[in-house]
Amino acid sequence: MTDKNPVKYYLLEILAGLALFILGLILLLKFNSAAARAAMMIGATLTLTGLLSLLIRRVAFTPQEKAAMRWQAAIEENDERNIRLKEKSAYITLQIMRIALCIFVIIVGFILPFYWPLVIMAVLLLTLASLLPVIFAAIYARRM
Amino acid sequence: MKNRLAELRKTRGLKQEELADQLAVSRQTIGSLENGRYNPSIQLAFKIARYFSLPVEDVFIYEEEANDD
Repeated sequence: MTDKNPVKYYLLEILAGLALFILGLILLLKFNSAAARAAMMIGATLTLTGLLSLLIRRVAFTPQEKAAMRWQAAIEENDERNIRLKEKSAYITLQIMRIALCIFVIIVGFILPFYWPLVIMAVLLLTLASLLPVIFAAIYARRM
Repeated sequence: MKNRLAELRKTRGLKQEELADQLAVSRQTIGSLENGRYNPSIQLAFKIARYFSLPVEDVFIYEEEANDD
């Protein structure tokens, strides 16, 4: 359950930043748009912060400190109160998302009925958001 | 549910961080337990009681009207 090796995330951040930067560069050369410049800027920032974080982690901490940080991260990850907090916030988020989706379906369905693919997608999302909790509840009910 | 965690911790001269380390939970969890904002799982309740070498009912005092959180 615990996977708190931040190096992986830093590397991912660097890669994502580089990809975004290159994409922005290609788009800039083709279209010279503001979005391309924004993508380049975000990409560069991501790459730089990722590199800096990696550097700080490699240079600034001793192996003992790194082990202590990993231990602390594992505690935070597996702490039962933190897990309960995540579960509660996920539940409330789900309720809010259901309501938001309902409102979205009503708005799209009644105000913009001619966008029927959008209506279908929104209804599908709403169905998914309503069905998944039931399915997972049934799965977990068998395990507990 | 009330508990004697703060009292027991202080008699041992432990800081919240130290107790949290011993029990492998976060410091915030210890703080919330002591304030009565959070009720622990049975596992954690037993772990705490065992750490203080006391029966669980000597550490945690169940009250009927307490909320379920």
